[in-house]
Amino acid sequence: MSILYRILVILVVATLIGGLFYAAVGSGDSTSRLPAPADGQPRPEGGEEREGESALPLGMVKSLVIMSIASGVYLGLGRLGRQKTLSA
Amino acid sequence: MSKQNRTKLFLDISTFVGFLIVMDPRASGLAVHEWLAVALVGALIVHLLLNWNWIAELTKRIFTKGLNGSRTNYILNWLLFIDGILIMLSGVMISEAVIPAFGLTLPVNMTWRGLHDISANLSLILMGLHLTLHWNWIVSTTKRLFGRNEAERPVTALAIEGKEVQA
Repeated sequence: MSILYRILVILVVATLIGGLFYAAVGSGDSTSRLPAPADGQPRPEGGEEREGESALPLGMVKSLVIMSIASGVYLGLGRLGRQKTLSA
Repeated sequence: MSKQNRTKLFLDISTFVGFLIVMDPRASGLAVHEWLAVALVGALIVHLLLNWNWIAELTKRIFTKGLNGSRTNYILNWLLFIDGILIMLSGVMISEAVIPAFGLTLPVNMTWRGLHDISANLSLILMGLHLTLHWNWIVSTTKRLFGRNEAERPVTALAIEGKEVQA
């Protein structure tokens, strides 16, 4: 029962946050709205055309590199902060 | 090692691998990208349930003094959660596989495409920080899983001031 309650809490919080985003975007610029594409027609932003562009999972490598950089910056700043505290 | 920690580790590693695949739709293809992302929502809910005690405890004590490290971790987790919601919502709004599979069509709004890209890029940074803050737990749990550490002792992800609290 408590698990169901916890799942419900997660879903309610997610719905509220999602609703806020939806309202914010929906109340914005309506000129960017386009009609839904007919069946079989690609959407203007691309999608299927980009599929299979690269046989190598370079995107995964790129993701790992970005995460490593974020991690390195965080650790570097943390170390710098500790050094300043010690020297003060 | 406790069964819960083992479950957590396997779930987290699987989720991370899934996350990497989802973050590369050009290699995986759009259908895999979208359906795997839907599956990741389930994994995320289980991840939150497994760490519920930590979340509940920190939510109660978030304004207590002397919780700087845990507070950073808590705020980062919220940002990751909010960013995840934005990724999913914008993904649904521009879906070309999942939503049409249910016979639905949504109007195209280019704003969602931009938000999807921005939130996905932001999630990489947040995920990098999330992994960094939990790196000690990941390494120690992996070592214990393969029996390369001292005597068994259950470890929770509850970190106060950067030190993991033994359960």
